[in-house]
Amino acid sequence: MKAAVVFLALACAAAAADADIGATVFRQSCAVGYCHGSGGAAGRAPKMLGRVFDYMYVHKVTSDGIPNTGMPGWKDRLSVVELNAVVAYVVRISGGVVQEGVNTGVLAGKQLPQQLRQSKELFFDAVRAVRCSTCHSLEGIGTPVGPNLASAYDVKLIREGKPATVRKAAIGGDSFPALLVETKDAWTTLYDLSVAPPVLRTVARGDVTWSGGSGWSHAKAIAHYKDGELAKIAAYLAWLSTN
Amino acid sequence: MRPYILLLLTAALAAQDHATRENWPHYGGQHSSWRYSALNQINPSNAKKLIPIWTFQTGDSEGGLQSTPVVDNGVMYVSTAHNWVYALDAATGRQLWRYIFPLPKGFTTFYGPHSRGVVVGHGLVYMGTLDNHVVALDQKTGREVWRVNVEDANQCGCNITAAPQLVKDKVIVGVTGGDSAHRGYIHAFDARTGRLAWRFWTIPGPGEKGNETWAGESWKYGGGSTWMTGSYDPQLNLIYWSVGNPAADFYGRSRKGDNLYTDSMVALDADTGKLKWHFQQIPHDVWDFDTAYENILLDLPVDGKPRKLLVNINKGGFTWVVDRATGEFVSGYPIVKNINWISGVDKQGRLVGRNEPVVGQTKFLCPAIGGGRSWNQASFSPQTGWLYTTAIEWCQDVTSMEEEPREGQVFFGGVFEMRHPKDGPAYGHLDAIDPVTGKVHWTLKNKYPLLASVLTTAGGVLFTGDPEGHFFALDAKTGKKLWSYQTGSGNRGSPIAYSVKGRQFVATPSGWGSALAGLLVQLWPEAERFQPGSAIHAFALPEEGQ
Repeated sequence: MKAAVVFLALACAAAAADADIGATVFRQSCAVGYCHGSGGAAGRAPKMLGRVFDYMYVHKVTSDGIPNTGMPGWKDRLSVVELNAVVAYVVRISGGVVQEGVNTGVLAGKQLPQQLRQSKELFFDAVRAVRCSTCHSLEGIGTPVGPNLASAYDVKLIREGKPATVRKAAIGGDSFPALLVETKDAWTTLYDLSVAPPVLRTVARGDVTWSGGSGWSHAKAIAHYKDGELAKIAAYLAWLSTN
Repeated sequence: MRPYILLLLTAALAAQDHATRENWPHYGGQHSSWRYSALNQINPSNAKKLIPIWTFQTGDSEGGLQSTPVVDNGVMYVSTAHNWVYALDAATGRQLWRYIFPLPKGFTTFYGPHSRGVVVGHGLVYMGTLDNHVVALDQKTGREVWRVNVEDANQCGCNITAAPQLVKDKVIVGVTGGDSAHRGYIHAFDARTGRLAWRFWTIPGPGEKGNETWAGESWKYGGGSTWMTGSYDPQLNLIYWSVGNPAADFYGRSRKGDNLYTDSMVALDADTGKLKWHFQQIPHDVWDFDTAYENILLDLPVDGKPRKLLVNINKGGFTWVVDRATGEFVSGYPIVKNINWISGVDKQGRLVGRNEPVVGQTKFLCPAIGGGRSWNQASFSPQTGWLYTTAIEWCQDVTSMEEEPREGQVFFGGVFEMRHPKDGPAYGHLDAIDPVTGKVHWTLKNKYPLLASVLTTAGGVLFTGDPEGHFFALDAKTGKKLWSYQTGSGNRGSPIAYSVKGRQFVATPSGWGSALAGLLVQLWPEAERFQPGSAIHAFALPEEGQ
């Protein structure tokens, strides 16, 4: 009996905590600014109050967003607990019924271990004018100029990169380090690596000539990253390659 | 004495030509952002004869059409909400080419899809994109020539929605993201190659002057977006940009300090991006009252002395006028009567009587977050010497709440609900004012906020539109309505004037949308039924025989 009371009390506490999480996430991410309004009273986006939303519908829209509108998908921005909590909150204020225990199709992704958080931050470090993600894309973020990095790297390999793929392009009197993207019909598309961020340029095929010895160096491009920092980034890449 | 002053004024204005003629080259008309055309075929006597010549449907209506078309040698270039670019025959509306920027599949943005225009030069058409790219297109064919990703939009939660500024050989762009955990900037790219020329961080980093105005690490996510287009003075070689609010918008405890250069007008060397001067309107803003809007450059006498002025209307409903060579404060005045976040400014332009949101409490503040005016630009006519600006009387309940930044995600530090003012229903108005003193010469009231830019012409006619879809002409001297046309969708863009083979046209985008348009529903529920759309309408006087 006592155990049952304790269990009930804990369950109630957990439900209350979820409700708090739902309200907080809604306030910070949904009610904000120009969107659904304080308590779901509506801004630019549809109001939530009194709409009697279907639980699965809210789950889908909240997870995936609505393309080409201001409604983003939240499944990559919120934890599963937060996502479920805010969906439940929205359904409740709309006057709908929260379906407990149904399979919503949203699965918890593998969480980045705490000790690798800083490693990931270094890769995407917005404080640096040039960061790894300026030229590499991981987890859907960054410009995919350079090679895919979802494999194990060590500090030396990160430092040196793969400079052989960078060549010298010349257009008129202007020569610069470049990566060939494609040549199609009369046009050549290349990344101009003169300065970061790289520029994707399309030029008439006959207007560009290629030669070796671009003078570009990956080590120079990332000189502001210390070896210790690169070691941390290598650990993040290693984790990604196995998860 | 009076004719003498008028002569002085005329001479001062004649010395610099800020008016557009056949072409409409820049977002604000010319670099000084007057939105004034020297064309005079259409005047108060014949404006009632205006007829629609052509309409062009863009087909991209989600988000409406907030663009300012530009015109170069009889060709109009316009961008749509999802970064489609059209080149149109400006005399007939015939499509010459179309370019569709490849936004990532399923791309969404908190600020809503919109694009406020392109700029043309060096044989290229330049546009910023929702996913934070700058692209350059061949002016003749629309073929993409270069593209650069300024920063990943999924990481920064920011976009480029303003029309780029083209100064000599550089294309200069700002960024949204002032309500996100993001650090703002202005970038200049080589117009021909797309290579980065310079970057100006609107929030100084560690070791840089001004960083000390941010507590702890708050500078990293402090907002300071640059979401409208700059102006340029070729004689001083300075570009003028406005920097938006600090983030979190309504919660300031974690970013104690003045928070430079948010809510500031900044003057940058056009070649290097180096800061020449700044004037901060709102130190430590906790109201989301961006210094974001246009910088109108005027050469006018003040107290008998010719001055190079910069006029900037702030979202908080207050206007700051400064000397644009030095940043020295000249004058300030409100454009709305419903202001309670300050009681005014002192003789140096500093805020007096701050009325701040209180954490955990709800406070009634005016104007509302949408602004005492929205971003839709004012116009200056040298004929009358008056500035023509829209304004909005509305208020809000703000509840400030503690919040921690999450990179690239919205960072408001509170919530708000729109409210009518205490003394009556909210409404909009359009005013003809003295640009230095703010003295009102005439006012046109409107049931809803007027959210389209204003155009004035040497014919003495003013053009703008309303949320219900009316595009209309007024006598710039009296405010008397001369003509009106129902465009079929709310007006949220910017009208322009141009000519082709000697015939004057006036064109306007129509297409209801935008973040602010959505907020109207809180005060006017019927606004939910305002029709969306995305079209350009061109008007002219009938030709002989028509």
